[in-house]
Amino acid sequence: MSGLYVPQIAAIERVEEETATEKTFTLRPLNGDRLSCVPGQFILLSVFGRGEAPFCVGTAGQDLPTLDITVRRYPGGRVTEALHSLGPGAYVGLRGPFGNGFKVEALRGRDLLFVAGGIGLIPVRPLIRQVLSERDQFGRLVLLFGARQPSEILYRRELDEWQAREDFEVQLTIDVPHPDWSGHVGVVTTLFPDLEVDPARTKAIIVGPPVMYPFVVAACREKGIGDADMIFSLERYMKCGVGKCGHCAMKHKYVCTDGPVFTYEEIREIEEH
Amino acid sequence: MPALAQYSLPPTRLKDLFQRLSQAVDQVIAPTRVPPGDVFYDVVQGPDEVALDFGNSLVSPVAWLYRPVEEMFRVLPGEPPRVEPCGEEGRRLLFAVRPCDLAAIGRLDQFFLEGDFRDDLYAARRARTLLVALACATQADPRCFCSCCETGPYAEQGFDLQLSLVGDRYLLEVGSESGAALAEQCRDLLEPAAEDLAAGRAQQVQAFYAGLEQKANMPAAVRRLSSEAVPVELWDRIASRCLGCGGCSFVCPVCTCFYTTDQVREDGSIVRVRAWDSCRLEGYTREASGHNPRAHRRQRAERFSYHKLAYPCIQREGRLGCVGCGRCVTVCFGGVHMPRVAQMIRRGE
Ligand SMILES: Cc1cc2nc3c(=O)[nH]c(=O)nc-3n(C[C@H](O)[C@H](O)[C@H](O)COP(=O)(O)OP(=O)(O)OC[C@H]3O[C@@H](n4cnc5c(N)ncnc54)[C@H](O)[C@@H]3O)c2cc1C
Ligand code: SF4
Ligand code: SF4
Ligand code: FES
Repeated sequence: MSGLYVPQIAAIERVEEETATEKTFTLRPLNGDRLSCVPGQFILLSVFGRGEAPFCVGTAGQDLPTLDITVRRYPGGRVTEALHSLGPGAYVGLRGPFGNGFKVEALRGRDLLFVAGGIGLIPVRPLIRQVLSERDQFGRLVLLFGARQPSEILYRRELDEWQAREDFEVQLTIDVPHPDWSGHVGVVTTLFPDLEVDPARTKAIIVGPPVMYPFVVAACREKGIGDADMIFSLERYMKCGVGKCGHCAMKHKYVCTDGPVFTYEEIREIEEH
Repeated sequence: MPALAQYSLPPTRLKDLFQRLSQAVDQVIAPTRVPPGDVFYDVVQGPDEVALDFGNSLVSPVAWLYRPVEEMFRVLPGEPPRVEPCGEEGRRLLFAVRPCDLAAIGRLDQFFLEGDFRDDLYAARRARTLLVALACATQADPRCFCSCCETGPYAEQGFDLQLSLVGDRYLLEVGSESGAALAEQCRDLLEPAAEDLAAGRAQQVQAFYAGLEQKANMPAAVRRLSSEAVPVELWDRIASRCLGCGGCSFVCPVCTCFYTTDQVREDGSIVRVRAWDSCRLEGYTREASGHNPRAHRRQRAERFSYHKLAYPCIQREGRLGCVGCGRCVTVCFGGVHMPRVAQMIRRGE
C-alpha cells in the first residue's frame, strides 16, 4: 500500500558500532526498491510500536540497494533506544529520502571548508565521499572536526584515511584535555586562527550542535567568507518530513521540505528571536 | 464566484429538505445541542436533532475533515510485518457549516492537497464530504469578526449548497456541480428565488457589518508584523498573559499541526495515530538533545501570530491564517486572543 505517511518495510542488514553511543545501520528495503539519495537528505525511520524519527542518509548515490544511517542513542529516546537494541534481520519502517540535500553543483570549482561538530559529521560524510570521488572537480579541501572527547569521534577509520591523503587537510580537536589525546584541544573555532582561506574561492559547509553555529559564523565572517557561502544543515524536531505536521517550521519555511540545507543568507531571513 | 443557481424555501419545508439531503449520503454531521446547552457538530439521525439557533460552536466542524485524533495505518507483526491502511468509507454531509469555517476548509484544502506532498488522509475524507453552509447574517456571535477577515457573513465560494434566512424565507444557493445535483433531488420542495431575496441578502450583509461587536483591523496588523516592526517586548507582554495551554490553536479551524504516536493494541497490532498538536506548547519544538529553539513562551506567541498574519506565510498558504471565527476569544484565559493581539500588533504596544 502507499500513502504519504506509510513507511515501507526494510530489514536491518548490518549493524556497526561507531562509539559507545552511535551505531551505523545498513537498511535494505524488502520489496527490492532502490533508493536515490543526495548527501544531506534524510529518511524517517520507524521502529514500530515506538515511533518514527528523522536520520540523515549516510550513503548517497543513484539506485542504491541499501542505505546507511548512523544513529546516536538518547537514554529514554523512544526510537533511538529501541533501534539500538535491534540487530541484523530485524524489521523497521522507512520513508523518504526527504529534503533538499547539499547542492554539489554549486560547490564545484570552489575551495571547500567543512566544519563539523559531534554527530554533525554524519550528514557531512556522504558529501565528503562524493567530493573525494570527483576530487579534481574541487579546489582545496579542509575539514575541521570537533568532538567532546576522543571516544566520541565518529568514523575513526575513515578519518584516518582522509588524514593520510595529500589532497585533503583534516584537523581534529577535542573540547577538553584527555589522557588519550595528544592532538589539538579546544572547541572547533579554536582551529580557525591558524587557518588561511581564500574567501572569494571558499564555500564553508557547517554542521554541528546549535550552540556551535554563532561562533562558527563569526569565525567564518572574520575570514571574509560571505553569508551566501556558508552552508548549514539544520535540525528541527520533525514529525512528518513532508511539510504538514508544522514542527520544523521557521517563519515561512519548513526545514523538512525547504531544507534541511540552507545558506546562512537564507537562515538570516527565517531566524527567530 | 456567483452562485450557480438560487432557490427559495419556505421554513416549513426545511425538515423535508434535510431529510432529502440525508438520503443522498451515508452520514450527516450537523450542529446539535448537548446538555447543558452547548452546540457541537456530531452525527445526527434526523432533523429534530439539528440546532440552527446558535452563534458558533466551540469546536469547528473542520474537525470532521481533519480529525483531532486519527489512525494513519496499522502494522501487523510478523516476519516480515505487514502494513495495512486504516480508514473509513461512505459519503458524508456536513450540514450548517458557518462561512468562517468554510473559509478555513479552503485554507486546509490548499495546505493539505496542493504542493509537492498531498495528504492522502485528508484528501480521502474531503473527497467524500458534501458541504452545506449556513450563512450567519441574522445571527452574529458577539465574538466573531469575519468581516475583518473577509470570510462572512455569507460564503461566496467553497460550498455545495448554502442556506440563509432572508426575511421569512430560506435562500438556497448552489455553489458546485454536486450541489446542483443535490438541489435537483429536492426540486419539488424548492421555489424559484424572487428578486427581493437577492436584495434582502445584500441588505442583511450591510446590517450585519454595522452590528458586529468584535473588530480587528487585520490588514494593519498584517502590514506591521510583516515589516518586522513589532518590538520584542510586545511578545513578552503577550507571553506574560498566556498560560501556554494551547487552547487557541486547538479550537482554531485554521491550525493544522499534529504529532504522531504508535499505539500497541491488545491484538498485538500497532497503529500509528496522529493527533492535533500546538505550537503554543513547550514540548512542540524540544529536540531529543534537550535543545529547544522555542523554549520561551514569548517565542511561541510570536510564532503563532507570524504563521497566521505575516505576508510570507499568507503567500505560501493561500490566505490569512485567521478566519475571524472568534473561538480563541472564547477559550483564552489570558485574554490574548487574536483580535486583541492583532490590535496590540497594530499599535506596537
Ligand atoms: C533532519 C534531521 C536529521 C537527523 N539526523 C540524525 C542522524 O543522522 N543521526 C542521529 O543520531 N540523529 C539525527 N537526528 C536527530 C534524531 O532525529 C533524534 O535524535 C531522534 O528524533 C530522537 O528520537 P527518539 O525517539 O529516540 O527520542 P525522543 O523519545 O523523541 O526523545 C529523546 C529524549 O528527549 C526527551 N524528550 C523528548 N520529547 C520530550 C518532551 N516533549 N518532554 C520531555 N522530554 C522529552 C525524552 O524523554 C528522551 O529522553 C536528526 C534530526 C533531524 C531533524
Ligand atoms: S488560549 Fe490564550 S492562554 Fe491558552 S495558549 Fe492560547 S494565548 Fe495562551
Ligand atoms: S485565530 Fe482565533 S478567531 Fe482566528 S480563526 Fe483561529 S480561532 Fe478563529
Ligand atoms: S517535519 Fe512536519 S512539517 Fe517539517
